[in-house]
Amino acid sequence: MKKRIYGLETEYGFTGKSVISKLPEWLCNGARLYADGDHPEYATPECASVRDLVKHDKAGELLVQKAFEGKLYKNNVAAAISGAGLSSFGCHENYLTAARPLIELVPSLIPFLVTRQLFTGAGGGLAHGKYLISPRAMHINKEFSAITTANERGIVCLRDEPHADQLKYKRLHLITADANMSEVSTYMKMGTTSIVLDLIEEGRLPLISLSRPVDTLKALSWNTSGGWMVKTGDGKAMRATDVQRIYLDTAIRFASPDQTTFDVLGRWAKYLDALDRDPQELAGAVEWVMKREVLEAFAAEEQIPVGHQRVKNLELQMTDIDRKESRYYFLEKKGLVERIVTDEEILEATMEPPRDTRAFCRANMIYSKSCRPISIDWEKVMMEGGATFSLKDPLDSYNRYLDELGIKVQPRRKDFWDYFMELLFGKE
Amino acid sequence: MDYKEEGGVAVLDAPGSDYGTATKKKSSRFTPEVLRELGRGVKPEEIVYKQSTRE
Repeated sequence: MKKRIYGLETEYGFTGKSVISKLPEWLCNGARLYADGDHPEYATPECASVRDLVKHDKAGELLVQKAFEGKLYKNNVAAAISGAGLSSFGCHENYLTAARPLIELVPSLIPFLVTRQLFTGAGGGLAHGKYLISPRAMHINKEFSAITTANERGIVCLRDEPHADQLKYKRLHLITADANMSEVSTYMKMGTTSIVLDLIEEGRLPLISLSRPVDTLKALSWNTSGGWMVKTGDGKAMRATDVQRIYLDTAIRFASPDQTTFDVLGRWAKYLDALDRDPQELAGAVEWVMKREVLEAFAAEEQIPVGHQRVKNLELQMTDIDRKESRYYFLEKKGLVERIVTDEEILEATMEPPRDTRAFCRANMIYSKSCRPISIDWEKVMMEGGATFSLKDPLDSYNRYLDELGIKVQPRRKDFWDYFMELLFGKE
Repeated sequence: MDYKEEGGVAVLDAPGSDYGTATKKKSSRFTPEVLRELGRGVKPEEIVYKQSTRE
């Protein structure tokens, strides 16, 4: 796949009384952490590979836990609020794209995004009476929209804030997916989407459309039994997995031959075949399948209904990011969950920015003893005295600025190293 | 389709009948020992947590 910038913004469910962060907004790993209204939010630094992104997304869990007092859940669909229906908060994907109108991406992206949930859905919804492949799907009500809240969320979000040189780049900001605990789900969510964007930018994709895509998104999420069928724009019935295969087959012919692309394409083909045969084959890799198996096996072992409060609690505790208590991390420690990165890599990502994006320069400027930044943003840093450093190209690590300022890059401060070491490797 | 719209928001229907009865044992990767250990960390009471309506 082409080199591009990836980012994830995750809003966390929260039990604390006050959303006040104990950490600074801009972190030494290049990420941004803050209270967005009444929930904590972590935005990864700009990453130039999907593997780096998985590392930094997982590092975010540790940093958020350090910053906020209270229980934190990585689930973006909360319980119903009396009189206000279901509430949802976001896990937003970001992809740097070529500077062409985002609306041009919509026709090619919609069939892909509607059916992508079959291997990226986080699973959940028992608290509302029905286990779904992608709980977030129930909160998407438009084919495309620039609005990210309430009834206006679109399958393709058209919010146009590149945070970069507008003549060169756009930033595709997708809000349609679940927050994932599974490293594999995050990896495949971002990896397949990046490959599809490559194909769109090269004009390689055959035209395909779905009838009533918003309804189809929800109907697919509703059906956890398999045999997913969709109706195409010209009225033909088609397997949802075959919609994905149109993208996969085109990618196999035209995608750039790097190691990550090979890995993503291999998994993509394997997952689609397994979804057709028996989704249960994917219980170690695909989050909604894994979670469903855990919940049903637990209910059977305890001889209680799946609708029992303890099973609902287990579903929620599968999204608990506290590694000592999380039921997801209990299963991970037992070796029952497939992984993409190591705990050592996650630990490093709590402190170190990616070296090949502008996050490297920004983080080193902010944490250098010789600099006094008074204003920080994704695309610029202003120093005391007024000197402003423009970071308009997210793919540039801007080492020349660090040379200019005489900043020697050193290993990050290890303030939280012991704390994270205990979280990652400590005894239960 | 099996969900309904209320005021433009998708609202999930009531629990299906399969959620009202104890689940029969199916073949699973999880051994009874793992499930029992897993269950020891599951809270018995409803977990209430703060939620946001905005993003």
